[in-house]
Amino acid sequence: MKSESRFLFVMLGFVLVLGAGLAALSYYNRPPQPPAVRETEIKLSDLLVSGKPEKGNPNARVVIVEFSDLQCPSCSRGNDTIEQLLLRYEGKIRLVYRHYPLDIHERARMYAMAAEAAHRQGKFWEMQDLIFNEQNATQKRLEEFAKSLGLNLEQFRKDMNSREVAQVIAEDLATGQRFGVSSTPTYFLFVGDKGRMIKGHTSLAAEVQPVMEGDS
Amino acid sequence: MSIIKLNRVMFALALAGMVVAGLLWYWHVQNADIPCTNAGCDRVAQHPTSRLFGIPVAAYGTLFYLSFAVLCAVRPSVREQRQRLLASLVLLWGTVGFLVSVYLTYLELFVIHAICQWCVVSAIIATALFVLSALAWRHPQAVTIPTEA
Repeated sequence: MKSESRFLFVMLGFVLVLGAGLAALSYYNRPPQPPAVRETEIKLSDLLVSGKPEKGNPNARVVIVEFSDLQCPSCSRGNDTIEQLLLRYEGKIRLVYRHYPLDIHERARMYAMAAEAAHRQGKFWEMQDLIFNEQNATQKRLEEFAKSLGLNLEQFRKDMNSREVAQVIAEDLATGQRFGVSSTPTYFLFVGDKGRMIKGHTSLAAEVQPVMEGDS
Repeated sequence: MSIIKLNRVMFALALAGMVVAGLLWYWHVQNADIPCTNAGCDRVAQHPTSRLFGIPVAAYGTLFYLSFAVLCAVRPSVREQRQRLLASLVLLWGTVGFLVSVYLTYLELFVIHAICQWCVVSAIIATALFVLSALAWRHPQAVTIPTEA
């Protein structure tokens, strides 16, 4: 074999070994995953507070309470799942939204404030969708969103900076923390008053489906 | 640029592509949040078209770049009579990679409606490999690699 070939193969081998080694290392050092689903002692009444954004059938027996961060990509994906579930089991699910902006996302709190400000003018879900579609939106962009939704811009700005709106988000965060939310999205799936906690969006559909099929 | 240098550049690009595709493969399998300046990467990774026969597209990409690097590494060793054949193989592989990249970029833009920066990097590398493999094929020195002293 020519020395040039040998040199290139050594380089290739080096990159392959390094890559495989790093992958193995990060795989074995990954943080232990807490069980994605667990039964909880939470009562539905612990999480239901009037005035929260919600959709679906308000009288449905199956209630999903979602703790979400608008800058978190998994929450955006989880939202797609939720939309599909609401469509598939139309009239059989009630969805309630609670804020859980994480500190690691620098704009999450601003987004939560914007969505809550939009909620005060009845456009929470529309604002949520716009933010999920553009999770790097700036303050200026949020105002453009508000404008496109036909919100009263002055009121929107005022609410976005108001203490009351900040208070709502702080309460949601405190409630989440009290009931063991530590990452987003976290869902509480209630059938009647019996609830279970689902961490992450990946197992959400698989958890909801048997409940709904048994429900019909 | 001499054919040796051209071959090295292609080899280095193939290695870079392998790293990018390998990372995407790893993140896909781990269902990790992909480092991205927007939500595009996650959207693309979550889309059904990000798998083919149950295997992540990034895995095929990794194998593509790996095989390209192997072809480049083999080339300096083959006999002069076989140089043209190997150059044609490299060009064929470069063309395949380029066409697949064009198709994947089309999927991102018009089907998934999201752009993943890592995929863009991979598409740029695949395009560069295609152009360079065509140059290497046309290169007059292609068949006259000096034999080792």
